[in-house]
Amino acid sequence: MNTSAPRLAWCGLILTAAASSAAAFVVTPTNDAFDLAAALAPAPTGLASVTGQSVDFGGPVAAAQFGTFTDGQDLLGISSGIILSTGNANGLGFGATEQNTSFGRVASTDFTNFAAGTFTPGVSLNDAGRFTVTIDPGLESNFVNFRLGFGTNEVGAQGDYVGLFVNGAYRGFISGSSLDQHHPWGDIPSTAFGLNRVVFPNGLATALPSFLVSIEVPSPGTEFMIDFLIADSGDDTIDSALFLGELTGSVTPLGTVASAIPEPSTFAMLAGLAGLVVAAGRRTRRQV
Amino acid sequence: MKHLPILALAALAASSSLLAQDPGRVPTTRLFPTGNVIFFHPDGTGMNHWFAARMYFQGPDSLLQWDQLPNMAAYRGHMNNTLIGTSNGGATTHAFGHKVDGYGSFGKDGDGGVTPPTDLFINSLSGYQGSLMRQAANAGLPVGIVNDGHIGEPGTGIFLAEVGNRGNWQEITRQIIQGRPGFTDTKPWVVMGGGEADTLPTGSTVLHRNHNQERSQALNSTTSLRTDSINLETDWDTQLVGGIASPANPVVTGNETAHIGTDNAIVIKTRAQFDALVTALNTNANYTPRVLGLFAYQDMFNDRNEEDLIARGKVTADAVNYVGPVNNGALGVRSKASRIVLWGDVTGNPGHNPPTFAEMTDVAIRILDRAAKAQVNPANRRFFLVGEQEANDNFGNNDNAVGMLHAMADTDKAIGVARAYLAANPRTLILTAADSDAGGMQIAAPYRDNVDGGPVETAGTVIPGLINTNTITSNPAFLNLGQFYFGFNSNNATGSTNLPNIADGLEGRGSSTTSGGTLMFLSEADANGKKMEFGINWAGTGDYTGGILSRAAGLNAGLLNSTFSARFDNIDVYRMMHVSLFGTLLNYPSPTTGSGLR
Repeated sequence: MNTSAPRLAWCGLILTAAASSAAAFVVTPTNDAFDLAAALAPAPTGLASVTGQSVDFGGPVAAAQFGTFTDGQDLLGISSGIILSTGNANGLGFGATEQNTSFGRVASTDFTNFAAGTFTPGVSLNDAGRFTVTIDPGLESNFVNFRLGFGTNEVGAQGDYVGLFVNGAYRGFISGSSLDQHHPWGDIPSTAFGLNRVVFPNGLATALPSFLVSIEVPSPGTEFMIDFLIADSGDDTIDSALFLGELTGSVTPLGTVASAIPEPSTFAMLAGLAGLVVAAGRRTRRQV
Repeated sequence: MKHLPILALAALAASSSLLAQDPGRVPTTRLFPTGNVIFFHPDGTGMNHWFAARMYFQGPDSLLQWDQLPNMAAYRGHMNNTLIGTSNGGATTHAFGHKVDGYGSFGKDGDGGVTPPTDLFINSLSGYQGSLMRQAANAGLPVGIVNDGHIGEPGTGIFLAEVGNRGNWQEITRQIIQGRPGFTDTKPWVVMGGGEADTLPTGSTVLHRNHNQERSQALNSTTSLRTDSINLETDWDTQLVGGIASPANPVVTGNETAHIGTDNAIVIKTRAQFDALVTALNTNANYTPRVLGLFAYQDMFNDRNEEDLIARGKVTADAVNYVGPVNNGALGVRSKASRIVLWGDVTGNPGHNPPTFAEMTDVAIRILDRAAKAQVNPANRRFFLVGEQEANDNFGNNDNAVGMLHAMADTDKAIGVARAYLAANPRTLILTAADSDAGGMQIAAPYRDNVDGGPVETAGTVIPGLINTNTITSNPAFLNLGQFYFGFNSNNATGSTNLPNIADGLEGRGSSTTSGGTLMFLSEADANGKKMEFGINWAGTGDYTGGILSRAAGLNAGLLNSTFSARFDNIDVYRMMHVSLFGTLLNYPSPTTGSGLR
């Protein structure tokens, strides 16, 4: 969301980098899915293949919103990988000054329909981007694992949107939180923050601003797709970005498992229980 | 957490929409990576052809190169007005992305050979005024075509020519080399195949003779079939390369050998010249000549059935191990090398032992790779190659089983060449698609298996080595030997005899005499070491459809198993190639988007 609060945002990256005297964090802009996949999984241990299938910006794209990066270990906890942003991949304000880019692009129907599971109906998706990668897990791995970080120039409770899909189905339910609406790690009101302030999940501060995500292979030995999605919401100005890297396969999960959100029946049951609780409370109050 | 119920319901809705029955028809704004495209058109090949080739050359449990293309989808080849893909209509759809009149179209929609003519110019699905290959070449990408038939065969010719009818060989050949009328087309980098008869001015003498008596011309004629004064070989040989005129070498046929290795634009016609080119490429890693290869008067393969070729003396003693065709051979000594000359002229003639399709593919890839990597503009550092093995189709149309099998083996080697290239150059799409199933062949196995090295049948029954195609009851050459025979009767209507279906062995169907048979093909060993016999039954000599499989590997190949898993047709072949060359998956055309008329 577009807020009026001052945003120092990405400068956190610089502070971290300066403190550690690390090598310069280098971003190479590219919207090429092939190159992105190669950077996402430079050594896809345990996997038969990792192939960049496509990128989708929900319409004509004028700049490289995506890119690859190197020398990100100290900054992100990811040595190298990819950046998926809602602005210019190489101009997000990694310096002292926040930089945002407005492309003024509202996502196409096709894009919006795909993302429907992660967004509140009626909220527009702007300057959106999606990267689709095809993974052949072979028969050696039951899980794929990758490091994920998030950064934003947004401040406050409202943020931009992130989606994680496996074969088109949403898989963004991580440790009881949904990896989408108002991303919980950005939910620090009135605080300027950058990646070094990332808190996830559930307010648990991490040593590094990225964490290891694991996804169960849908069908061992069968190729499947993962879609990573990011979008500005409400505005098309204040940018956010996903940082991903070090994708590998494993027999058991190496990180926090991202799963499907609970079935509607579960919610219905919970809603029913909640209704009973509310009704019981009302009855109790009336008795008083 | 307050959003979760909404999310859950929305996610379900999204999931169901994403699992759409036909994702290949959903418009998309997705952008795909680009790279090299190698399109193989193994003309006239269904899964049946590949199965036969696998059994014969590798064994039923083995893997062809084709088997190792990991992505696949069933291919639909129907045209605008016929349910079976024609060579010219299918290739037009592959090259332009529009279904067209299947009978006459050749880079256009309609038939210029009917009265009144109906042929109309069309744009590609992308809106470009020309084929996908013309779009690529004119954008600065090196392109090439390879065919073991005439270079103007539809599967390759349509990518570079737009004419009223496939019979207009002269103009097709001229457009391939000089470009289309009214356009300033960039020349292709590599063109190799047959078709020398259409490259020299009227009255000229060409190098290769018309030994297959094609184009209604006299047997062994060496007279050019052009009716104008255009010398396409000179045009090729003297073209500007990088702004520098190629030396005006003598274009006397067959006189280019001395320039191979130094000249940047060459015309080659013989095995010796081809080998010299290979040597030059091996010697100089920077040598990237523009190559026009013309290895036959018309087709490089010998477009006739086995019996006809034998009758014409197209046999060789090279295949020393062959013991057929009579019923006196012992199993295990049947050589895979046929004594029938299937490609090229007989020994002693310039057209003898021409390069194979796989060899030409290898050279084409090597040259196009160098040309692409040398492009000044980094965005153009990719190439587009279309390779058609026409022999698969024409041998099938001739019911020439041994020819078809050898053509399949050649195609498979070419796929192996491309796979090796892909291994080192992953930004490469290999895509295969045939538009029809030539001859409708099926594999016929003996009633009682006759296993090489297995138990010998008892007296009075089949003895190994006696299984013969003239024991297939549906074969016109059927010979009832009172033995175990193939029980494949065909449409045995009441009161009628069996309708004949040709059943081929090593040298065709044979004849109905005890000495006039032709031995069955002998497979390579299965996983248990057994070799078994089989014959090839033909449904006819036409093009059929129903069992065609497209396979792919490399860049964007996964689309076959995802976006196109439900439906993959001839338009999608164009879309697959376009997305890999230019990055956008064009929307499938609809009646409202028109047929692409220019």
